[in-house]
Amino acid sequence: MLLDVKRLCKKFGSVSAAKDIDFSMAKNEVIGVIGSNGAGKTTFCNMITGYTKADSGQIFFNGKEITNLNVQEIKNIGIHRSFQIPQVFENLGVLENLIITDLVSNNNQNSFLEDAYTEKNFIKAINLLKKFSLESFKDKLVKELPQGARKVLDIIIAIIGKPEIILLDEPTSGISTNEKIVVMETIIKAIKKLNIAVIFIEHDMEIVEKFANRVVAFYNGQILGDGRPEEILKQKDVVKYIVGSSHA
Amino acid sequence: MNLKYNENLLLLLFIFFFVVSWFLLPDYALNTVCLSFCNGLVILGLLLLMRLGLVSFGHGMYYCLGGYAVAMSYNFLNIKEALFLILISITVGFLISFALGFFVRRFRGIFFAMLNLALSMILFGIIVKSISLGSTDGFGIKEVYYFGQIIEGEKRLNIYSYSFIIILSGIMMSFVMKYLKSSSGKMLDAIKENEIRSAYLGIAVNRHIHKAYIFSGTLAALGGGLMVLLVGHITPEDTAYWTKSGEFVFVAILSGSLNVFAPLFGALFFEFIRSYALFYFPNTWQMIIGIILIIGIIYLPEGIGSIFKKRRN
Ligand SMILES: Nc1ncnc2c1ncn2[C@@H]1O[C@H](COP(=O)(O)OP(=O)(O)O)[C@@H](O)[C@H]1O
Ligand SMILES: [Mg+2]
Repeated sequence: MLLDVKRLCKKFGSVSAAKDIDFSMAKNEVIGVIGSNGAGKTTFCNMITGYTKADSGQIFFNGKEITNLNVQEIKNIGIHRSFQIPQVFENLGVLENLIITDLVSNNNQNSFLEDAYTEKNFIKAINLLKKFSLESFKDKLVKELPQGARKVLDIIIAIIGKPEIILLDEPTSGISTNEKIVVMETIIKAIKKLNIAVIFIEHDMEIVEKFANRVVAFYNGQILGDGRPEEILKQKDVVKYIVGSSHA
Repeated sequence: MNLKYNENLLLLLFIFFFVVSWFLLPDYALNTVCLSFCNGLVILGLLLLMRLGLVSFGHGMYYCLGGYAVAMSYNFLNIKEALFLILISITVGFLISFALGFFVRRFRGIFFAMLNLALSMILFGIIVKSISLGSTDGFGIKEVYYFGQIIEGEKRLNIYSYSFIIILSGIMMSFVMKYLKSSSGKMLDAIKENEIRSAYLGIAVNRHIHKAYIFSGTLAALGGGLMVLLVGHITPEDTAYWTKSGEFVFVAILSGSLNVFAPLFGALFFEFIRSYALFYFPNTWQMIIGIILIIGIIYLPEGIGSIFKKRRN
């Protein structure tokens, strides 16, 4: 298994954000994670990526335990993520964001002799933007971007360096309804081309149905259902607690 | 247009201009220029921290360490060659900032600032309590050789000491310039902008902070060492005391962190204003300095460096 999560628990005070979560994932899976607000989806992402330490339980990646690695170490072994609220370098340019990311993923972060913002690096970054149809923003600072573009930039940053797993926390939130599908199509296409396994958290069931080949439903820190989208999205309690409420 | 070429050329012109000034400016002005460069090196060090979004209220400590390294080597080890003395001050700055860096790099914001202040107060206390270190009177040094050259009975400010300070500062500015343009230097911008994302990218946040801190402390120590060569005397009060550190932060904020010229211009500006204000308004010069800072913050929020800022196209 690519990723194995065993009996993961996490409490914040009296709130249980994860209760005995068991989960595993194979290569090439595209998993949609659903659940109402506060169900524990982001916490799940945070524990896998080392940002939040679990109270108990274990996480394995390619058979090796990674439960106690820190954020940087987990990134370096090949698990990347994007964020519900984009985490980008707001006061830097769009291209500079990409160049910095690329430098780090090429192990250049300690280089004192090589300049960072060379023409070659700029061209590379522009080409990357083109792939995601964002080249019209190439001369902008990130803080000048519309929310949707910033969201995509955050995801591009997570893709750079070709991880084995990528976790997308609500990739389409903040993107207008009519653009969602197109944006998601571009992202998933790019990710699949690189053979990266995906876990994406999503509230829009249409998107989940269209892109996920497996759905995991969270409710109150527990997994309510896990399986093929057609089944899980029709499961009684999933409809009652998640699908129903998300359309409300 | 090749920006790299421009910046290096600009630096060369800058240094050339100040070296030539030796033949044009009166002595008191040259003295102020030299002192500004010594202080400017400390501000240059603070610029590196500002690039990380950090401020140190205790950089006077490294200024003091560098200065005492020179004064003590001169008096206790009988070393009289300026180059060796300066190498010693750089080494001391490097080693101490390397060691303390393991501690301070874990802190951010006001905690980082105050921790440095606390460390500088400890150093101040140690020196004041140590009779062998001259206590509050400090140390003096006599004639110094510059590459084996000495001008007997001449003033401390001579063509050797002057060009030594200016050119060494120029070299340091070019190092900082190179660092800020390098991949490693861009990590500072990333860390300042978003530490969470930086960590998720795999940037070794603490290691980069440590590196910049060492560079910064070493520059400040060099500034202190050069200051002692120029002034010939050092006291704890004028270096490690918190008011001196505060002055450095003041000028650093006035200068901004846009480019390596800003700290030097900031320091020059401050020293000249202070010496004129002291002369013409001996009792109200602090007020004048305060008003200038207010004007600076309002009209040049990114500091003196923004006068030269290249516009984004
Ligand atoms: N850092 C935190 N401190 C305290 N409570 C938290 C923290 N993070 C999450 N929680 C709580 O844990 C529960 C799950 O949150 P979260 O994982 O963000 O849910 P989701 O992403 O599914 O909306 C919520 O009740 C939330 O309030
Ligand atoms: Mg969430």
